[in-house]
Amino acid sequence: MTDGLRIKDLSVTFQLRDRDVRAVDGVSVHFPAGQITGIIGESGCGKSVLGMAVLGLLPPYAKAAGSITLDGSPLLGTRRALGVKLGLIPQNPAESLNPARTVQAHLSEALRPLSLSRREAKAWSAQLLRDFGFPDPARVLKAYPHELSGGMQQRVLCAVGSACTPAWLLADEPTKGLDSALRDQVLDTLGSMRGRGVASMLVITHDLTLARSLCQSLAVMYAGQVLEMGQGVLEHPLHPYTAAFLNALPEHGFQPIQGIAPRAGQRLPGCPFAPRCPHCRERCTRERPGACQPESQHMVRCFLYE
Amino acid sequence: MSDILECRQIVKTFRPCLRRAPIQVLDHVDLRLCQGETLGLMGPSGCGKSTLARILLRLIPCDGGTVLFQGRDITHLSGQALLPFRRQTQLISQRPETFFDPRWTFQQSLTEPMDIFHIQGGRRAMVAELLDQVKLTDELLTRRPHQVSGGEIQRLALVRALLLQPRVLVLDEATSMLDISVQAQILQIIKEVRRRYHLSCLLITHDREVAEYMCDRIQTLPAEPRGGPV
Repeated sequence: MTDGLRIKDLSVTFQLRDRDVRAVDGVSVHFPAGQITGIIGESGCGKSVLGMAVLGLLPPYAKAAGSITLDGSPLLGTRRALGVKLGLIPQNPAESLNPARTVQAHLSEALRPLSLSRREAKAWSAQLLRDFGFPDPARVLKAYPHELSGGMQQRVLCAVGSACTPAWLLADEPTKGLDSALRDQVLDTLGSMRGRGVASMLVITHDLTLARSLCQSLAVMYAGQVLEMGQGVLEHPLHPYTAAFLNALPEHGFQPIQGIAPRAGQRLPGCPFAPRCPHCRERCTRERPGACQPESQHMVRCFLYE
Repeated sequence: MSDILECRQIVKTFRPCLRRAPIQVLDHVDLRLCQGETLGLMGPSGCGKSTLARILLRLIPCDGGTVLFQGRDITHLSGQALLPFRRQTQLISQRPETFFDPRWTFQQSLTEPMDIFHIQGGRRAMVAELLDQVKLTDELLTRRPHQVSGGEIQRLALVRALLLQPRVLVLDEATSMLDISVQAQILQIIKEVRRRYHLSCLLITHDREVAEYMCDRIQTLPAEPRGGPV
């Protein structure tokens, strides 16, 4: 059964000393299998928290409610699928690899769910590195992270994330802080992963160039909610937030979004973008807009389209 | 236009460890930053952009070449003799959180440079004016680095740099870790403070669109550092 990844009424709250911060606020989305879906939005909008909830990697002080299912089996609160059905490519390659361990040690750990012998694990690791463009895997397996360039570290992480050939892969900000040459390299690597058994991908990013070239559909998050989702989001944005976000692109003259983003955990009774929205009406400040579908395969939460 | 900061024939070699061959990162590089201009310094990762900036700011020594500030050779100055130069050139980095003491509030972090350079009168008014300039409120001054967002800490780093009324601002990948809307906001603020305070800026970036939007002139460093024996 390939129903894909279904998230229903998911809320994630971090219980801090003095207050509760709701990072994900009632998200209901369906990520179909066999597609690359991007999750875009500003820093702090809850993209990575949503990803960590899917992977079961939320910290102990986070409280999650709602449901997440992968092909019908529940995921929320478990790590059963991690590594086997769901792989992760974390952000910041330099910080995600253990500086005291070799590449072989990283790959052996990732291959543990397959219960391979040491010799088999070594052969599989070498093959994985070869698949990710390392012509001399024996040398790379013995290397420590500091002996690799940024692009090589990123490719090692891709190999670690896809070691058990998971059907789904989650890439968290794979191009953050990289120069354009490395960005292109990562883009090629991610694109080629679909030929290595990874059928579906979730790419969390604020790099719209990456989103445009790699993803078939996009979900736009703001203040813990998905405001717009579907195909053609970048070409034809429907939500005023998406349109304002795209105005910050170089081709639109680096125009920042007016107003101030809500503080972490600040909950508004209506649309979270209402205080900054040029189309804000009285209703937007007191009522939360429901999902509507003005175009085929394009959902938006805005009263403008009701 | 006269040059405010210049380097001539800079050479820099790093030795990773005793058994390995040294890597020559900068090979007789020249750079001129004119009064009031914004110069973009571009090149791929590892080509020596940040190393060159650190040599220009006299934060690390060079193996050969000369650094001139307002026409004066400062390559071999040290200690007290460098203090006036330190005040007039400020660095904003890609990771501003590493520039702030995690135990201190921003109030303490903003006071420290004014103590070092004996700036006495009108401190509160200066901070208030600059916070207003970067569109922040003084409510943030009681917080610590982990309690603010990436865009807020980058703007606070800008406030701390501007408190010393510098002539030159070096922005080392200052917006590369920020998302596009915060990046746009910071770029607009930098444009505004540059105009208002007549600053000369060296903008290090690997984003050509940012460089073309912000800079009067762009200089590109060669792609690869030269490995092997030198």
